Amino acid sequence: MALVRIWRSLEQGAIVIESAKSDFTPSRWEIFKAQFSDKGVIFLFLIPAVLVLVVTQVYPLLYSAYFSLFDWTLARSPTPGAFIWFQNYTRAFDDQIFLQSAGTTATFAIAATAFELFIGFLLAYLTVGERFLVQVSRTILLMPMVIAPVAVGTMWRMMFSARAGLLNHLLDIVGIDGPDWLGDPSIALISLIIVDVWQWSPFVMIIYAAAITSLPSEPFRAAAVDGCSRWQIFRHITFPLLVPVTLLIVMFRFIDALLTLDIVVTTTFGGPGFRTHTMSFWIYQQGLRYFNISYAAATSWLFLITCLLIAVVLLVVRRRLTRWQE
Amino acid sequence: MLCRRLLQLFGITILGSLISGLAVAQDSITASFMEAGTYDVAAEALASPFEEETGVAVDIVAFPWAVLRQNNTTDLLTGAGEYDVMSGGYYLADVFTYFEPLTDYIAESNYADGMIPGLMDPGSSEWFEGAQIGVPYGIDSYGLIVNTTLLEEAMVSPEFATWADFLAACHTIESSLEGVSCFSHSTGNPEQIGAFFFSGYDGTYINADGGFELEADAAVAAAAILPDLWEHLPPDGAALTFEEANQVFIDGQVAMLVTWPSFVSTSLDDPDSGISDSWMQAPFPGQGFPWLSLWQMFIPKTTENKDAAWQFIMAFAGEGNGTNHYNTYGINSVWLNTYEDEELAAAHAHQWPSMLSDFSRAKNPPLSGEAQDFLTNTLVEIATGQVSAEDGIARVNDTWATIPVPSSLLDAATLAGFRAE
Repeated sequence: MALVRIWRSLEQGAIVIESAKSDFTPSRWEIFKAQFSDKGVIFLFLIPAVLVLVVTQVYPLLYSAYFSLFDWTLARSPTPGAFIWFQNYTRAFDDQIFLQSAGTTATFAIAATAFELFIGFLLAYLTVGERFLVQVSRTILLMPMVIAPVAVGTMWRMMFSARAGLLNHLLDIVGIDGPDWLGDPSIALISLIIVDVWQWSPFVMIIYAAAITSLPSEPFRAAAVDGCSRWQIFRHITFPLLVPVTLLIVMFRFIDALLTLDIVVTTTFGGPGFRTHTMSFWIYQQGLRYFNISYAAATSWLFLITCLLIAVVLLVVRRRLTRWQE
Repeated sequence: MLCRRLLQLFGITILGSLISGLAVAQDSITASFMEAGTYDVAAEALASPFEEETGVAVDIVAFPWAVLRQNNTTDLLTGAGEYDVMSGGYYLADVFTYFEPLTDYIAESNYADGMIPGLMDPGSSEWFEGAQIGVPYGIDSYGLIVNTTLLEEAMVSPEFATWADFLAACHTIESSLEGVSCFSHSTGNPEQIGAFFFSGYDGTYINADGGFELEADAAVAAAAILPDLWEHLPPDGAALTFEEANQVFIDGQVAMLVTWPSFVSTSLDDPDSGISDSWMQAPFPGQGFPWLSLWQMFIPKTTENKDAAWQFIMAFAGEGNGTNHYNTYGINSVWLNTYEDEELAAAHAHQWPSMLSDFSRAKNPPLSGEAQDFLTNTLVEIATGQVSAEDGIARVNDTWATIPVPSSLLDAATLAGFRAE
């Protein structure tokens, strides 16, 4: 049946083309019908994907929004309790640990993204080119990105071990008394940032490397002819041209860093105390450890809205900058 | 015609698979255990003989403690019915309603005869709505392990009525023995700090209205000593795993070890440990209670073959296995006959007197997983100087006021004297 419709729409499309060739002028209705049929085909092909999205994404999201308005702890009852409007949302703003987790998450995401941008850019600049050694270096540098985050966390937990870990052993060799990476509250978050930067700087590197390679050569040639120094070329040509891709990387990495869970679970488990509770870890605890389903859903929505706002702001800034460049 | 024949064959195959699947479902059970190299290994060793004897295959699945707790809870709440027998303890209080009452099974088989007195009572074993739902199979209580040689050198007697006495001894030890810290403990596992608090706090956990609440003054006093104690951990000792904490003790870098004795006693007794002749277990300090770990087996209501599940529990946890499990896997027996064995008692004279004395005082705090996690995370913050004891305990009480108390805990708390009048 679908095939017959596709065939008909193709036929109708052909009518439009034919009519354009001949002197025959189609009526508005005929043009609309032909165009609609055209789009109809596209919609037809989109339906399976849309259905999958609706079932796996939209329905759970809407359902979570619905039951975030109830008082529901799964351990107490398999069905939602009383309808409490937005109490779960307001409760979050009175919850010290939730607010502390939000602060920790923001600190983690900002610091990790900033370092990843810097290190990733540096690595990209150093490894642009097609020479064999450069290619090998790039491949080796990519390796942290392809390791499963849980494995990364476990590996770093062992390296961070204050008494038996590799890091403090190496520091000891050069006469430095290494810190208690995971046990000291003032260091634990920094340890997590180190792990994230180690794992995701290669991602930044690869995007920057692609962007640097595809930059137009004319401005650089012109600058060379004008006798610009390397710093001037970087400052006035390379950097401005890379701003749009930088914003894209910031969006990817910042939002991904906000969602960090696996390395927290495998290294500090949120500790010492609540020091490295990130938002994702906090929501995981509420939803899947204590089964406070409606509270976890409400805070997930708050978190989702925050992430969306950040993404929108970054996209708007990027669009404005791109327009300015054009 | 061919199509029809093929369809028939397909139908028969599907039906056959379903029937055989059902048959398998009835003759096999899955049991969850903690991955510890003890309980899980003992259960795996039992699986084959059990199948030979009963015709019921047993699949043993083992996970680290936190994963086991998570998997058990998820299995119950989702009704997945993956596990027919579950290992756990009081921290499953949120989901006690999903467990099968075992009172009839216990009575029919006279299961409790020969067990350490009191272990089957509410407050030790788990009960729900007047029926016992958990059957104990392994017992441990937080213990104080001491290096007798080092303590003798420091002229410290390992008898501490309170943590303040323990703290005073720490000063003596560290001033007498160069390069030796007072004690080690698995500080990297945040929930373990509860051992210090539960034994140092002698107040109630549930208020007269049936809500979670600590008696502020007593709780602050018990928590306020933690930062001082943490000063006497070995250098960089604020995130030690159990293995690291044990090793530091074995290496003689600390004089005492605060831990679950069953985690370390076998390796300490190993002649190659270098410490087999110079350690003992001392009475656990504090006016509260030593933290009890009573591993129990539960049968979820979703279990299809409950008789087979009970048979497995009796075979695994029964009186006949207690001594064998102790000797082979280091699992502390819940059966009296193990401790009445004179030869064993003589071989463990350096440990059993204090251990058995601690068992008699040991209890579980009447806390749900969420309430306990919040308390222990806050205690870590107090111990590491992130928050004062006063503010920390106030925050615990504020948050606990929003956490409902499972009804199963109320009775146990009342019986154990943990509920305010």
